[in-house]
Amino acid sequence: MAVSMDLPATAELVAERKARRAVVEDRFFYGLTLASATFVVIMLLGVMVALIVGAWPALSTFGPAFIITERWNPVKEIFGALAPIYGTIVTSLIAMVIGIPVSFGIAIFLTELCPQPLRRPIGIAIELLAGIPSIIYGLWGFFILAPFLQTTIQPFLIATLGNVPVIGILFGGAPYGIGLFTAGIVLAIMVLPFITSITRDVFLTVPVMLRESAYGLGMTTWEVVRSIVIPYSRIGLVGGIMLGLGRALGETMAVTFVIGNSHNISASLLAPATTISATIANEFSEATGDLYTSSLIALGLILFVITFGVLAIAKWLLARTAIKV
Amino acid sequence: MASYARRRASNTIALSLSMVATVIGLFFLAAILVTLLLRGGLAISPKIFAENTPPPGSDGGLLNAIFGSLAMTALAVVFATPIGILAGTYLTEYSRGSKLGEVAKFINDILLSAPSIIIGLFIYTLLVVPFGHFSAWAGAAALGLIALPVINRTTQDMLGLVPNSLREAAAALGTPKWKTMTHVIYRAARSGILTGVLLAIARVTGETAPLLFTALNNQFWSTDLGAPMANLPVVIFQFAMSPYDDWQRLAWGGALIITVAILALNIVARLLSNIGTSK
Amino acid sequence: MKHVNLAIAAGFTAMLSVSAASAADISGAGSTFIYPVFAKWADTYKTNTGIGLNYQSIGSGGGIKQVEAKTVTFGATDKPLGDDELTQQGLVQFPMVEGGIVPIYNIDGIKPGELVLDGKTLAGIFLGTITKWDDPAIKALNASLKLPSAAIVVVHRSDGSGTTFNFTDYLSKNSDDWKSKIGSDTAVEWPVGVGAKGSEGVANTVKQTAGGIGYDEYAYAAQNSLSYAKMVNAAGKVVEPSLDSFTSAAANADWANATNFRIIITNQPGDGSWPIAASTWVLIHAKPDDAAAAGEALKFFDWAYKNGKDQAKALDYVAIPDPVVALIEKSWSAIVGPDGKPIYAVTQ
Repeated sequence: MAVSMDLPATAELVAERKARRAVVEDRFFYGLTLASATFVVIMLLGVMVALIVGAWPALSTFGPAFIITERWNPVKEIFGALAPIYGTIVTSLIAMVIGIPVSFGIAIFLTELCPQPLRRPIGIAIELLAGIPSIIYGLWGFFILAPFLQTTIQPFLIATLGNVPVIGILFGGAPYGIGLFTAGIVLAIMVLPFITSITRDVFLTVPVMLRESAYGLGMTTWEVVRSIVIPYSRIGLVGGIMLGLGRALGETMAVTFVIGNSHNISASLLAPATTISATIANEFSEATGDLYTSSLIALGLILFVITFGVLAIAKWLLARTAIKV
Repeated sequence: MASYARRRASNTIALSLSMVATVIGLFFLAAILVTLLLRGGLAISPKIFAENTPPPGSDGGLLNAIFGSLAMTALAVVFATPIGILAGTYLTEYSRGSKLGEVAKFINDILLSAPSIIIGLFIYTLLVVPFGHFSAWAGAAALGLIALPVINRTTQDMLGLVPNSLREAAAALGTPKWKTMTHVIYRAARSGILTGVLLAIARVTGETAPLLFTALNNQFWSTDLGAPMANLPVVIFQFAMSPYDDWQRLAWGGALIITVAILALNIVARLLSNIGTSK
Repeated sequence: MKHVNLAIAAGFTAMLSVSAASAADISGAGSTFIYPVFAKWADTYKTNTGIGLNYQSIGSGGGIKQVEAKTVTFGATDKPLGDDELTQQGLVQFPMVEGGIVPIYNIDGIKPGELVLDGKTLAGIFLGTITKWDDPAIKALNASLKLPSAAIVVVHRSDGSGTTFNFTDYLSKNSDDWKSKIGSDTAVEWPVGVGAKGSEGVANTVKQTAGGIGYDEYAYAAQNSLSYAKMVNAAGKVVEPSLDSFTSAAANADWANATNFRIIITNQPGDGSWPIAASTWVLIHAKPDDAAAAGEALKFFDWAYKNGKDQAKALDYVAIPDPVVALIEKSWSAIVGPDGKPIYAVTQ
């Protein structure tokens, strides 16, 4: 009789203990996940703090003039970010000017024209471009693209467009092979897959009803794309472009091989130049003196701010189109 | 009102141009892969996997570089995977809709797309300067920090795909939340999360810039994690920019090895996610 | 399956914990000028003694930085440090080897050694005032050559380089224009041209770029079949880069009277002297943190001075003459261990 009275009580105790332990374990697990998520946030904040702290000596020495000074003299310790900033912006612009039309073309092809069985393979092939590491692009750009451009395209451009007044300045100078133009082309190829895949996804969000109605009215495929699909998805399109731009701005290895490493700003697109990341990659390991190192970190800070801004805008735009990117 | 013929003509032109664009894209892909195969193929021999990087003007292999890359990538994955999965878990399971969660997701995506050279600079100030020397640990940390947001993001996406019915069923059975996660949800999203890890490895394999200021390079065989360690990307960079034919050949060989590894990882990842979704 | 995984993991960890013979290797960084001969010496030294030389060829600027930051045991630089910097950083400086810097070019149809240049023309090319290969100034020195009307692509160093220092020093001595506008140092504000990293990068870029001209240590040109130019020296004679012309230039160096062995040997007198000769110095701490590592490094340098002469000659470097080596090794008594005693006692 006594035994049967104990059993229910023990079972209850065991159950209670189990429940309490489960709460503790749950809280522990929750804490782990929260800590991990916070870790990511701390890392980014850490990056910002490290950059600001590292850049401070240079920024306080040169002030805001740092951004508009072209001179870069490690021996006299006079540094200016203008040449790297110029190179970064111009190469990215060239990449966008070439990359956006081609990406749009590919996306239009994949969504409108491509026969169904080919869509997946071609889509995958374009995405493979994204997987190729940037150092491979650098190798290919330096050993294959640059000599080709130097012997064929560049002399042609100099001889023809170089003589046209006004635009001529953009194509003047010697055919170096490497330089802003070559780097821009390599970057264009690198951002292709990013812009293409987002453009294609965004195109696919256009309601079938809208397109069918347009076709029903007798519009041609191109007219549907131009007047219905693109305007409807324009926010997402700009978001995709910004994402590609963010990638192009921060690209290091591909550009370092083919940019020409010159701290002079020249009007010609064929001239050698430098970008922020190429400057850091080339000069950081041998920067003697605190001011030199700090100036390079300051360049890194500028790059971080620019890409942060571009990426933030891209995410905001894409969030408004409910595209998962 | 534009004439029908003109509209048809502009249609044909536009669509032809789109086809041209696709051909251009595919052409560059082919050009790069063919170059890699031709020039890198010349260097691939058993020697490349058996000997260390040679001094200029002599022949050799890439053994120490391959080992270094494998070691640092492995360490990076060991570090980034648990944190990435747990962080992704928090952002999907615990913080749905909360402001903090949205901010954390946003910051993760910024870290995901941040220039890798910035990560390298950060780790340099954190793990190289205080210790006074370059090290494989620093290199692994830099690679880990690049892999972390990738794993975090894919975990979020994959966990989001797991139907809520699973979670509700487990709760109805009285399962503690953590057990639900580890025994039910993770198992359901297993192939997706693994895909994420593979993609992170693929991403990290080709990274050069962050290693330039952290692990640097080492021309000899070394397993010392506290010292500079050879790695494929930096070796390729150094060898490619030299005038020595032997070195350049090895650089292309290394480039081919990296690309094949990344493509293989991508294919496996794709196959895995197909298996996962077809279940 | 589980056992296989465990085995792999165990093997991997075992490999990682074995910190091989790399601990004894000598670490150095710096000048790309001296790298070819360092690499040759290191190879032989390793076969003889089992101790390797881990030398990072990152340019003189990098070498100075790394040795001052104490991340390497010694640095190598083609630009000697001033007395102030040496005292401030607690460094000892001594020359290791001498050699020649040559202009290298890539011109269609012009073979190695055919092109003749002089200081003033070279300065004009690097200033950007001479832009085509068939410029009258170049034609005047090369009456017999058929020069194409191609653009000149200037290639210079993008990193801090002692080779740049010696080259710009030579240009400054031969062109007032260059001296006033640009000057000479390890890194200058190049008015034109593309930058390449290291002597290796310059050689490679010139090789890849039609119409390119750069400057490099002679070994890089010889080893990679690059075209090098003959120069008109201070005595007005046309000389070829060779061990003889380098030796002739180096012969004028008065090492005994140079504080901290600081002598620049560009534009030296002598009919057979190569005009752009240079030396490379080693920098090492007077009170190194790791006395054993410093000792190993000094042992290597001593071996190189005594046994490495032939290999240096084969690469067209001029070995430091024995009397000077004696002076150098005497100066090593300033390199002391924690007990204040010289680390390296030269056994003669």
